[in-house]
Amino acid sequence: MRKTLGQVCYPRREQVFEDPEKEASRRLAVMQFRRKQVAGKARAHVDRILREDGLARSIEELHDKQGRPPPNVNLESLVSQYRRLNYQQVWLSTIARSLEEILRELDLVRFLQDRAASEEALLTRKAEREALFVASAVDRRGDVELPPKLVALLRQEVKRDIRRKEVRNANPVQDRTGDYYLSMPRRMQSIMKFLFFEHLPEELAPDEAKDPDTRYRFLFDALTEVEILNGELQSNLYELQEYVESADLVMMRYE
Amino acid sequence: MSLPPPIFLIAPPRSFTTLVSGMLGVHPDVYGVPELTIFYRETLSELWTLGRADTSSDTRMRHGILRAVAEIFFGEQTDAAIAGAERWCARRQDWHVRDVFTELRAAVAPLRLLEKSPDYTLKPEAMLRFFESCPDCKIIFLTRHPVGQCKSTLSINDGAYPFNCNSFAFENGQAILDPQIAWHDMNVNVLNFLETHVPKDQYLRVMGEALLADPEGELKNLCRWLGIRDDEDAIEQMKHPERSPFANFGPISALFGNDPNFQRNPHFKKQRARTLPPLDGPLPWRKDGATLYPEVRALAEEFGY
Repeated sequence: MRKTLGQVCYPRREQVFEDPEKEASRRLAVMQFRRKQVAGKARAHVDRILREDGLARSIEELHDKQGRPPPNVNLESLVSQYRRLNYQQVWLSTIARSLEEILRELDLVRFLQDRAASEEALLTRKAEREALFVASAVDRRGDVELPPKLVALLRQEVKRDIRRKEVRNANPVQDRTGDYYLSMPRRMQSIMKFLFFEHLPEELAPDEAKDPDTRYRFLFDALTEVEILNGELQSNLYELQEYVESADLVMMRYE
Repeated sequence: MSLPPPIFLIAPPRSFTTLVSGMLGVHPDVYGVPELTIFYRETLSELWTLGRADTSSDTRMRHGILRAVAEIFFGEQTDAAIAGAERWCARRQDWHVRDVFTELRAAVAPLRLLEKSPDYTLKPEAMLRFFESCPDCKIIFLTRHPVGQCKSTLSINDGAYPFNCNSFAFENGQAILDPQIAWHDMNVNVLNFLETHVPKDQYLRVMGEALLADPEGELKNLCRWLGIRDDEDAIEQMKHPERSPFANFGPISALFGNDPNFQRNPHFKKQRARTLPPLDGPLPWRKDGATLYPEVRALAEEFGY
């Protein structure tokens, strides 16, 4: 039998190398790659939309620097360009909304992760945790002490609730295939969700929550990236809205 | 009833497998199907229940079998036919994949079924499973120059493939993505499988670059070895992979099943015989000026590069 050089494998496994140092550096490399890939793909999509030539042409055809339509312009062409501009604006607004939604969801995931981590830390110090939990329960219910069984049940419920929310937030898109080639805004939403949530759970799965710092770093970077994209998109959107408003005036003159 | 022996094309990804499979698949005696990927598992149901951690693109893995079933049994590739194919697979979910494959073979007989799923090269059990399922099959082992193959894997999807199959080199305590490890190990997996389990007259090694530079001569040799027609008409037909029913995107519910680049442009263009990159030069994807590992170079030389 010939010998292999490395440990190529399929299907992809969570842990590949037994040597912890090798495994750690592999994980780091994979994470850097994923982060770069997610950010790169999102940026490419947004850039492509913003650089759309048709959009620039539409604006140019609709009015000059003084807000007047060019002389001898064909009315049909004017109307079609105006519609195009309007459509682009709707599309951009949808993307901006998607980004905002992603931002909110990322925030929520981070919050839940944080809560789960503190819950976990408390579990490791059981006695302390019991006392804290009971104390907080007593606080909530005045001076009535809760029976230990009820305390345990409540604790389970809290954990289950956190888990449910984590799962729900980690899997917003169960099967993205069906979303392909539907209406543009919906497609864009599904792309955005795919970009962020298809990749995030790999780093955020509770089973491999060995290193919460790493996960937070990943989330923080993703949040920053989305915030930057959203900022760029919003400023472009405002600009576009101005154009559409001035185009409205142009159209009114024709009507 | 004895069925005509199927043909398997095995090679690491980005080794011209899609194009060559497309060309062979439109031969008048052959029926080429998309990447079925069924031999990864024992039963069909396992292909439907793969978790997200199992594969990078689990739902896409099923597109090949769905499109093949839709085309073969329902006569078209539409959303309705794909829904029918889903039901067809659901009824056979507990079957061994060997029996599913046999049913496909019987449906296209007297044509010979041609399958290629490059990812089999990462999993020796998958190769063994298809050989045990069809001990009379013919296997074409396609090779590509390591530098060309590695550059190609890195250019697709930001180089996700070498990442996903764990092709890492470790230097100075750092993991560096180096696809030459995947090239070497996947080829070694194939060689180990062929040399240990398959009789010598049942497999043939073909240089992908040579086939694309001289399609007439190489395809003729290949046809003779496979025992199928090698006349001019058959060779001419093989130069039109775009005529395959799978040489395009499928319906929304099963878009893929093949290399998307091929699906976008499934035409064959004869290539000029090019000078291949040297085996001892610095590698374009390594910033530290590293070259091919001695083991990789030795294997490439063995393949005739």
